[in-house]
Amino acid sequence: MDQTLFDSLRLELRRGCLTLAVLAQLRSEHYGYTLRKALADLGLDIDEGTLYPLLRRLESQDLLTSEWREEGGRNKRFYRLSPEGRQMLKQLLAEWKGLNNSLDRIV
Amino acid sequence: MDLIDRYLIAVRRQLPRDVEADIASELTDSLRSEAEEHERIAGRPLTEGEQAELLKKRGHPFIMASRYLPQQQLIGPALFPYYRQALKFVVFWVVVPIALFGGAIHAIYSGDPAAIVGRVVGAAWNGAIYAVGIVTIVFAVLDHERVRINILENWNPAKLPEPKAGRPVPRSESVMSLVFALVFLAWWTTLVRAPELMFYADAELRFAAAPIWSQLYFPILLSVAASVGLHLVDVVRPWRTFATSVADLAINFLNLFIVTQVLRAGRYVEVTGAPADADKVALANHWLNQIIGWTFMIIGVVIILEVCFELWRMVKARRTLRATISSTAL
Repeated sequence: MDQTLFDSLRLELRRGCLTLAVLAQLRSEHYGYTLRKALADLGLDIDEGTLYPLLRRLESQDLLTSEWREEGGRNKRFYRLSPEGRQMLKQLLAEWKGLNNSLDRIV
Repeated sequence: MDLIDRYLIAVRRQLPRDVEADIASELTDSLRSEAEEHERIAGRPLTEGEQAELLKKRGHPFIMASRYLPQQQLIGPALFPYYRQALKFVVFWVVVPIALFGGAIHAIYSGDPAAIVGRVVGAAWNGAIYAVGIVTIVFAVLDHERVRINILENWNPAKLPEPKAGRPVPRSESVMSLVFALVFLAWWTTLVRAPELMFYADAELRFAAAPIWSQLYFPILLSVAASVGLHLVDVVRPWRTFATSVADLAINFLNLFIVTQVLRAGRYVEVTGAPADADKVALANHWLNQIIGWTFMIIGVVIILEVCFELWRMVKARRTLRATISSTAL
Protein backbone atom coordinates (compact mmCIF):
# COMPACT_ATOMS: atom_id res chain seq x y z
CA MET A 1 0.00 0.00 0.00
CA ASP A 2 1.19 3.52 -0.81
CA GLN A 3 1.83 5.01 2.65
CA THR A 4 2.22 8.57 1.33
CA LEU A 5 -1.12 8.41 -0.42
CA PHE A 6 -2.74 6.93 2.68
CA ASP A 7 -1.31 9.73 4.85
CA SER A 8 -2.54 12.38 2.45
CA LEU A 9 -6.07 10.90 2.26
CA ARG A 10 -6.13 10.42 6.03
CA LEU A 11 -5.17 14.06 6.51
CA GLU A 12 -8.00 15.13 4.21
CA LEU A 13 -10.45 12.91 6.10
CA ARG A 14 -9.36 14.22 9.48
CA ARG A 15 -9.29 17.93 8.60
CA GLY A 16 -13.03 18.58 8.77
CA CYS A 17 -13.51 16.22 11.72
CA LEU A 18 -10.90 18.06 13.79
CA THR A 19 -12.74 21.37 13.40
CA LEU A 20 -15.95 19.72 14.50
CA ALA A 21 -14.27 18.01 17.47
CA VAL A 22 -12.58 21.23 18.63
CA LEU A 23 -15.82 23.20 18.40
CA ALA A 24 -17.70 20.48 20.29
CA GLN A 25 -15.05 20.23 23.00
CA LEU A 26 -15.07 23.99 23.52
CA ARG A 27 -18.66 23.97 24.66
CA SER A 28 -16.83 24.07 27.98
CA GLU A 29 -13.84 26.34 28.52
CA HIS A 30 -10.31 25.04 27.90
CA TYR A 31 -6.86 26.40 27.34
CA GLY A 32 -4.72 24.89 24.60
CA TYR A 33 -2.95 22.20 26.57
CA THR A 34 -6.03 20.87 28.41
CA LEU A 35 -8.00 20.93 25.15
CA ARG A 36 -5.37 18.85 23.44
CA LYS A 37 -5.29 16.43 26.38
CA ALA A 38 -9.07 16.16 26.54
CA LEU A 39 -9.23 15.35 22.84
CA ALA A 40 -6.38 12.84 23.14
CA ASP A 41 -8.09 11.15 26.11
CA LEU A 42 -11.17 10.74 23.93
CA GLY A 43 -9.03 9.12 21.20
CA LEU A 44 -8.40 12.10 18.94
CA ASP A 45 -4.73 13.04 18.88
CA ILE A 46 -4.02 16.45 17.45
CA ASP A 47 -0.59 18.02 17.34
CA GLU A 48 0.09 21.55 18.50
CA GLY A 49 1.10 22.75 15.07
CA THR A 50 -2.42 21.95 13.91
CA LEU A 51 -4.42 22.82 17.02
CA TYR A 52 -3.21 26.34 17.77
CA PRO A 53 -3.47 27.70 14.23
CA LEU A 54 -6.94 26.10 14.05
CA LEU A 55 -7.99 27.83 17.28
CA ARG A 56 -6.78 31.17 15.90
CA ARG A 57 -8.63 30.64 12.65
CA LEU A 58 -11.86 29.72 14.43
CA GLU A 59 -11.50 32.76 16.65
CA SER A 60 -10.91 35.05 13.66
CA GLN A 61 -14.11 33.59 12.19
CA ASP A 62 -15.93 34.62 15.41
CA LEU A 63 -16.74 31.02 16.28
CA LEU A 64 -14.62 31.13 19.46
CA THR A 65 -13.86 33.71 22.11
CA SER A 66 -10.67 33.75 24.14
CA GLU A 67 -9.22 35.49 27.15
CA TRP A 68 -5.85 35.49 28.87
CA ARG A 69 -5.93 34.55 32.55
CA GLU A 70 -3.31 33.58 35.05
CA GLU A 71 -3.52 30.03 36.36
CA GLY A 72 -0.87 27.98 38.14
CA GLY A 73 1.55 30.91 38.03
CA ARG A 74 1.43 31.19 34.24
CA ASN A 75 -0.61 33.14 31.74
CA LYS A 76 -2.96 30.91 29.79
CA ARG A 77 -5.33 31.62 26.96
CA PHE A 78 -8.77 30.17 27.60
CA TYR A 79 -11.04 29.40 24.68
CA ARG A 80 -14.79 28.93 24.62
CA LEU A 81 -17.47 28.59 21.96
CA SER A 82 -19.08 31.92 21.00
CA PRO A 83 -22.86 32.18 20.38
CA GLU A 84 -22.11 32.10 16.63
CA GLY A 85 -19.90 29.08 17.20
CA ARG A 86 -22.70 27.33 19.07
CA GLN A 87 -25.05 27.93 16.15
CA MET A 88 -22.42 26.77 13.66
CA LEU A 89 -21.69 23.63 15.72
CA LYS A 90 -25.38 22.75 15.70
CA GLN A 91 -25.53 23.00 11.92
CA LEU A 92 -22.26 21.14 11.41
CA LEU A 93 -23.32 18.33 13.74
CA ALA A 94 -26.55 17.89 11.80
CA GLU A 95 -24.50 17.76 8.58
CA TRP A 96 -22.03 15.31 10.07
CA LYS A 97 -24.79 13.02 11.36
CA GLY A 98 -26.39 13.02 7.93
CA LEU A 99 -23.07 12.16 6.30
CA ASN A 100 -22.38 9.49 8.88
CA ASN A 101 -25.76 7.85 8.32
CA SER A 102 -25.21 7.91 4.56
CA LEU A 103 -21.73 6.44 4.92
CA ASP A 104 -23.05 3.74 7.25
CA ARG A 105 -25.50 2.71 4.56
CA ILE A 106 -22.87 2.92 1.81
CA VAL A 107 -20.09 0.96 3.55
CA MET B 1 18.21 28.89 29.11
CA ASP B 2 17.00 25.39 28.33
CA LEU B 3 16.09 23.80 25.00
CA ILE B 4 12.43 24.81 25.31
CA ASP B 5 13.41 28.49 25.63
CA ARG B 6 15.72 28.20 22.63
CA TYR B 7 12.98 26.51 20.63
CA LEU B 8 10.48 29.25 21.50
CA ILE B 9 12.95 31.98 20.50
CA ALA B 10 13.59 30.21 17.20
CA VAL B 11 9.83 29.97 16.49
CA ARG B 12 9.29 33.59 17.49
CA ARG B 13 11.91 34.80 15.00
CA GLN B 14 9.83 33.37 12.14
CA LEU B 15 6.53 34.93 13.19
CA PRO B 16 5.03 38.26 12.09
CA ARG B 17 5.72 41.05 14.60
CA ASP B 18 2.08 41.80 15.41
CA VAL B 19 1.30 38.27 16.62
CA GLU B 20 4.65 36.87 17.78
CA ALA B 21 4.24 37.71 21.49
CA ASP B 22 0.74 36.29 21.63
CA ILE B 23 1.62 33.05 19.84
CA ALA B 24 4.86 32.63 21.79
CA SER B 25 3.02 32.99 25.14
CA GLU B 26 0.52 30.35 24.16
CA LEU B 27 3.21 27.99 22.92
CA THR B 28 5.25 28.57 26.07
CA ASP B 29 2.35 27.57 28.25
CA SER B 30 1.61 24.50 26.17
CA LEU B 31 5.22 23.29 26.11
CA ARG B 32 5.83 24.03 29.77
CA SER B 33 2.58 22.34 30.79
CA GLU B 34 3.53 19.19 28.94
CA ALA B 35 7.09 19.25 30.27
CA GLU B 36 5.79 19.68 33.84
CA GLU B 37 3.47 16.75 33.46
CA HIS B 38 6.33 14.55 32.28
CA GLU B 39 8.45 15.79 35.20
CA ARG B 40 5.66 15.02 37.67
CA ILE B 41 5.39 11.47 36.35
CA ALA B 42 9.19 10.98 36.35
CA GLY B 43 9.61 12.75 39.71
CA ARG B 44 12.61 14.70 38.38
CA PRO B 45 13.42 17.49 35.90
CA LEU B 46 13.57 16.45 32.24
CA THR B 47 16.99 15.80 30.79
CA GLU B 48 18.14 17.66 27.71
CA GLY B 49 17.57 14.54 25.62
CA GLU B 50 13.98 14.21 26.89
CA GLN B 51 13.33 17.88 26.16
CA ALA B 52 14.76 17.42 22.67
CA GLU B 53 12.42 14.46 22.14
CA LEU B 54 9.46 16.59 23.25
CA LEU B 55 10.41 19.37 20.85
CA LYS B 56 11.12 17.09 17.92
CA LYS B 57 7.52 15.87 18.08
CA ARG B 58 6.39 19.46 17.47
CA GLY B 59 8.49 19.89 14.37
CA HIS B 60 11.21 22.28 13.27
CA PRO B 61 10.68 25.88 14.47
CA PHE B 62 10.35 26.99 10.86
CA ILE B 63 7.54 24.47 10.25
CA MET B 64 5.84 25.31 13.54
CA ALA B 65 5.90 29.06 12.79
CA SER B 66 4.75 28.63 9.18
CA ARG B 67 1.56 26.92 10.39
CA TYR B 68 0.52 30.16 12.05
CA LEU B 69 0.92 32.22 8.92
CA PRO B 70 -2.35 33.21 7.28
CA GLN B 71 -1.29 32.09 3.79
CA GLN B 72 -0.27 28.44 3.49
CA GLN B 73 0.21 28.42 -0.27
CA LEU B 74 1.67 30.75 -2.87
CA ILE B 75 -1.21 30.33 -5.30
CA GLY B 76 -4.43 28.86 -3.97
CA PRO B 77 -6.83 26.47 -5.71
CA ALA B 78 -9.12 29.30 -6.89
CA LEU B 79 -6.42 30.88 -9.04
CA PHE B 80 -4.32 27.80 -9.81
CA PRO B 81 -6.18 26.73 -13.01
CA TYR B 82 -5.72 30.25 -14.44
CA TYR B 83 -2.07 30.27 -13.35
CA ARG B 84 -1.42 26.96 -15.09
CA GLN B 85 -3.05 28.16 -18.32
CA ALA B 86 -1.13 31.44 -18.19
CA LEU B 87 2.15 29.55 -17.75
CA LYS B 88 1.41 27.27 -20.70
CA PHE B 89 0.44 30.21 -22.87
CA VAL B 90 3.46 32.34 -22.02
CA VAL B 91 6.02 29.54 -22.35
CA PHE B 92 4.69 27.72 -25.44
CA TRP B 93 3.11 30.64 -27.30
CA VAL B 94 5.43 33.50 -26.52
CA VAL B 95 8.85 32.37 -25.30
CA VAL B 96 9.42 29.30 -27.50
CA PRO B 97 8.17 30.85 -30.79
CA ILE B 98 10.22 34.04 -30.22
CA ALA B 99 13.33 31.99 -29.44
CA LEU B 100 12.83 29.74 -32.49
CA PHE B 101 12.06 32.59 -34.85
CA GLY B 102 14.95 34.68 -33.60
CA GLY B 103 17.26 31.68 -33.79
CA ALA B 104 16.18 30.81 -37.33
CA ILE B 105 16.77 34.39 -38.51
CA HIS B 106 20.21 34.39 -36.87
CA ALA B 107 20.99 31.02 -38.44
CA ILE B 108 20.33 32.42 -41.92
CA TYR B 109 22.57 35.43 -41.31
CA SER B 110 25.25 33.51 -39.48
CA GLY B 111 27.98 31.56 -41.21
CA ASP B 112 27.85 28.93 -38.45
CA PRO B 113 24.23 27.74 -38.03
CA ALA B 114 25.33 24.93 -35.66
CA ALA B 115 26.45 27.49 -33.06
CA ILE B 116 22.98 29.03 -33.15
CA VAL B 117 21.37 25.89 -31.66
CA GLY B 118 23.08 26.42 -28.31
CA ARG B 119 22.14 30.10 -28.30
CA VAL B 120 18.51 29.32 -29.13
CA VAL B 121 18.28 26.68 -26.38
CA GLY B 122 19.94 29.09 -23.93
CA ALA B 123 17.63 31.97 -24.91
CA ALA B 124 14.55 29.72 -24.65
CA TRP B 125 15.67 28.44 -21.23
CA ASN B 126 16.39 31.92 -19.86
CA GLY B 127 13.20 33.30 -21.35
CA ALA B 128 11.17 30.44 -19.84
CA ILE B 129 12.68 31.02 -16.39
CA TYR B 130 11.95 34.77 -16.51
CA ALA B 131 8.44 34.18 -17.86
CA VAL B 132 7.62 31.55 -15.21
CA GLY B 133 9.00 33.85 -12.50
CA ILE B 134 7.01 36.89 -13.64
CA VAL B 135 3.75 34.94 -14.09
CA THR B 136 4.21 33.30 -10.67
CA ILE B 137 4.83 36.64 -8.96
CA VAL B 138 1.78 38.20 -10.63
CA PHE B 139 -0.47 35.32 -9.54
CA ALA B 140 1.01 35.21 -6.03
CA VAL B 141 0.21 38.92 -5.64
CA LEU B 142 -3.31 38.38 -7.01
CA ASP B 143 -3.83 35.51 -4.57
CA HIS B 144 -2.44 37.49 -1.68
CA GLU B 145 -4.78 40.37 -2.48
CA ARG B 146 -7.64 37.86 -2.79
CA VAL B 147 -8.38 38.90 -6.37
CA ARG B 148 -10.71 36.39 -7.97
CA ILE B 149 -10.93 35.77 -11.70
CA ASN B 150 -14.36 34.67 -12.82
CA ILE B 151 -14.13 34.79 -16.60
CA LEU B 152 -14.65 31.03 -16.83
CA GLU B 153 -17.63 30.95 -14.49
CA ASN B 154 -20.14 32.23 -17.05
CA TRP B 155 -19.55 29.47 -19.57
CA ASN B 156 -22.16 27.90 -21.75
CA PRO B 157 -22.13 24.09 -22.04
CA ALA B 158 -23.95 24.42 -25.38
CA LYS B 159 -20.81 26.04 -26.81
CA LEU B 160 -18.60 23.03 -26.11
CA PRO B 161 -17.11 21.85 -29.42
CA GLU B 162 -18.68 18.84 -31.06
CA PRO B 163 -16.38 15.92 -31.85
CA LYS B 164 -14.80 16.60 -35.22
CA ALA B 165 -13.97 14.17 -37.97
CA GLY B 166 -10.27 14.63 -37.65
CA ARG B 167 -7.13 13.73 -35.85
CA PRO B 168 -5.64 16.07 -33.25
CA VAL B 169 -2.56 18.00 -34.37
CA PRO B 170 -0.25 18.99 -31.50
CA ARG B 171 0.02 22.78 -31.32
CA SER B 172 3.75 22.55 -30.61
CA GLU B 173 4.18 20.76 -33.97
CA SER B 174 2.10 23.39 -35.79
CA VAL B 175 3.97 26.30 -34.17
CA MET B 176 7.34 24.80 -35.16
CA SER B 177 6.19 24.22 -38.75
CA LEU B 178 4.75 27.74 -38.90
CA VAL B 179 7.98 29.32 -37.69
CA PHE B 180 10.08 27.41 -40.25
CA ALA B 181 7.63 28.18 -43.07
CA LEU B 182 7.71 31.90 -42.18
CA VAL B 183 11.49 31.94 -42.08
CA PHE B 184 11.66 30.18 -45.45
CA LEU B 185 9.11 32.63 -46.85
CA ALA B 186 11.19 35.56 -45.60
CA TRP B 187 14.25 34.10 -47.31
CA TRP B 188 12.43 33.23 -50.53
CA THR B 189 10.98 36.71 -50.90
CA THR B 190 14.53 38.06 -50.19
CA LEU B 191 13.48 39.78 -47.01
CA VAL B 192 16.58 38.15 -45.58
CA ARG B 193 19.59 37.07 -47.60
CA ALA B 194 21.75 33.99 -47.26
CA PRO B 195 25.50 34.39 -47.77
CA GLU B 196 26.42 34.12 -51.45
CA LEU B 197 30.17 34.11 -51.07
CA MET B 198 32.06 31.16 -49.65
CA PHE B 199 35.61 29.86 -49.54
CA TYR B 200 36.57 26.35 -50.61
CA ALA B 201 40.20 25.16 -50.42
CA ASP B 202 41.38 28.82 -50.36
CA ALA B 203 39.44 29.59 -53.56
CA GLU B 204 36.80 32.33 -53.55
CA LEU B 205 33.59 30.84 -54.90
CA ARG B 206 30.37 32.65 -55.78
CA PHE B 207 27.02 30.94 -55.84
CA ALA B 208 24.08 31.88 -58.03
CA ALA B 209 20.72 30.16 -58.34
CA ALA B 210 20.15 28.21 -61.57
CA PRO B 211 17.37 29.47 -63.94
CA ILE B 212 14.96 26.73 -62.72
CA TRP B 213 14.41 28.67 -59.49
CA SER B 214 13.18 31.75 -61.36
CA GLN B 215 10.78 29.56 -63.32
CA LEU B 216 9.49 27.96 -60.11
CA TYR B 217 9.44 31.18 -58.07
CA PHE B 218 5.66 31.56 -57.96
CA PRO B 219 4.76 27.84 -57.49
CA ILE B 220 7.17 27.72 -54.54
CA LEU B 221 5.82 31.01 -53.17
CA LEU B 222 2.27 29.64 -53.47
CA SER B 223 3.25 26.38 -51.74
CA VAL B 224 4.95 28.12 -48.81
CA ALA B 225 2.19 30.72 -48.41
CA ALA B 226 -0.42 27.94 -48.41
CA SER B 227 1.62 26.04 -45.80
CA VAL B 228 1.73 29.14 -43.59
CA GLY B 229 -2.07 29.42 -43.89
CA LEU B 230 -2.57 25.73 -43.11
CA HIS B 231 -0.27 25.83 -40.07
CA LEU B 232 -2.10 28.94 -38.82
CA VAL B 233 -5.41 27.06 -39.07
CA ASP B 234 -3.80 24.09 -37.26
CA VAL B 235 -2.62 26.40 -34.48
CA VAL B 236 -6.02 28.02 -33.98
CA ARG B 237 -7.98 24.76 -34.37
CA PRO B 238 -5.68 21.89 -33.44
CA TRP B 239 -7.39 19.05 -35.26
CA ARG B 240 -7.47 18.09 -38.91
CA THR B 241 -10.86 18.25 -40.56
CA PHE B 242 -11.54 16.71 -43.93
CA ALA B 243 -11.06 20.14 -45.56
CA THR B 244 -7.69 20.83 -43.90
CA SER B 245 -6.49 17.32 -44.74
CA VAL B 246 -7.43 17.89 -48.38
CA ALA B 247 -5.61 21.24 -48.32
CA ASP B 248 -2.55 19.47 -46.88
CA LEU B 249 -2.73 16.87 -49.66
CA ALA B 250 -3.07 19.61 -52.32
CA ILE B 251 0.02 21.38 -50.97
CA ASN B 252 1.93 18.11 -51.00
CA PHE B 253 0.90 17.43 -54.62
CA LEU B 254 2.09 20.92 -55.54
CA ASN B 255 5.37 20.22 -53.74
CA LEU B 256 5.68 16.95 -55.63
CA PHE B 257 5.22 18.84 -58.91
CA ILE B 258 7.90 21.34 -57.87
CA VAL B 259 10.32 18.54 -56.94
CA THR B 260 9.84 16.78 -60.27
CA GLN B 261 10.45 20.04 -62.16
CA VAL B 262 13.59 20.69 -60.11
CA LEU B 263 14.90 17.15 -60.71
CA ARG B 264 14.19 17.39 -64.46
CA ALA B 265 16.21 20.61 -64.63
CA GLY B 266 19.25 18.80 -63.20
CA ARG B 267 21.07 22.05 -62.50
CA TYR B 268 20.40 23.97 -59.29
CA VAL B 269 23.40 26.14 -58.53
CA GLU B 270 25.93 27.92 -60.72
CA VAL B 271 29.29 28.15 -59.01
CA THR B 272 31.75 30.67 -60.40
CA GLY B 273 35.23 31.73 -59.42
CA ALA B 274 38.57 33.06 -60.63
CA PRO B 275 39.96 31.39 -63.83
CA ALA B 276 42.92 30.15 -61.80
CA ASP B 277 40.49 28.12 -59.65
CA ALA B 278 38.72 26.49 -62.62
CA ASP B 279 39.26 22.93 -61.36
CA LYS B 280 37.91 23.79 -57.91
CA VAL B 281 34.94 25.57 -59.49
CA ALA B 282 34.18 22.53 -61.65
CA LEU B 283 34.47 20.20 -58.64
CA ALA B 284 32.19 22.43 -56.54
CA ASN B 285 29.67 22.66 -59.39
CA HIS B 286 29.62 18.91 -59.84
CA TRP B 287 29.30 17.90 -56.21
CA LEU B 288 27.00 20.67 -55.12
CA ASN B 289 24.50 19.95 -57.90
CA GLN B 290 24.85 16.23 -57.26
CA ILE B 291 24.13 16.63 -53.54
CA ILE B 292 21.20 18.95 -54.16
CA GLY B 293 19.81 16.47 -56.69
CA TRP B 294 20.02 13.60 -54.17
CA THR B 295 18.47 15.80 -51.51
CA PHE B 296 15.49 16.57 -53.76
CA MET B 297 15.07 12.85 -54.53
CA ILE B 298 14.84 12.19 -50.79
CA ILE B 299 12.42 15.12 -50.40
CA GLY B 300 10.28 13.63 -53.18
CA VAL B 301 10.17 10.23 -51.43
CA VAL B 302 9.29 11.93 -48.12
CA ILE B 303 6.45 13.87 -49.77
CA ILE B 304 5.03 10.67 -51.32
CA LEU B 305 5.19 8.93 -47.93
CA GLU B 306 3.55 11.93 -46.29
CA VAL B 307 0.70 11.86 -48.82
CA CYS B 308 0.14 8.15 -48.09
CA PHE B 309 0.35 8.76 -44.34
CA GLU B 310 -2.12 11.66 -44.47
CA LEU B 311 -4.59 9.52 -46.46
CA TRP B 312 -4.23 6.69 -43.93
CA ARG B 313 -4.72 9.11 -41.02
CA MET B 314 -7.88 10.54 -42.66
CA VAL B 315 -9.37 7.06 -42.91
CA LYS B 316 -8.30 6.15 -39.36
CA ALA B 317 -9.72 9.39 -37.92
CA ARG B 318 -13.09 8.71 -39.54
CA ARG B 319 -13.17 5.19 -38.08
CA THR B 320 -12.22 6.46 -34.60
CA LEU B 321 -14.93 9.12 -34.71
CA ARG B 322 -17.57 6.56 -35.69
CA ALA B 323 -16.45 4.29 -32.81
CA THR B 324 -16.53 7.23 -30.33
CA ILE B 325 -20.00 8.34 -31.39
CA SER B 326 -21.41 4.81 -31.15
CA SER B 327 -19.83 4.16 -27.72
CA THR B 328 -21.14 7.54 -26.42
CA ALA B 329 -24.62 6.72 -27.69
CA LEU B 330 -24.69 3.42 -25.77
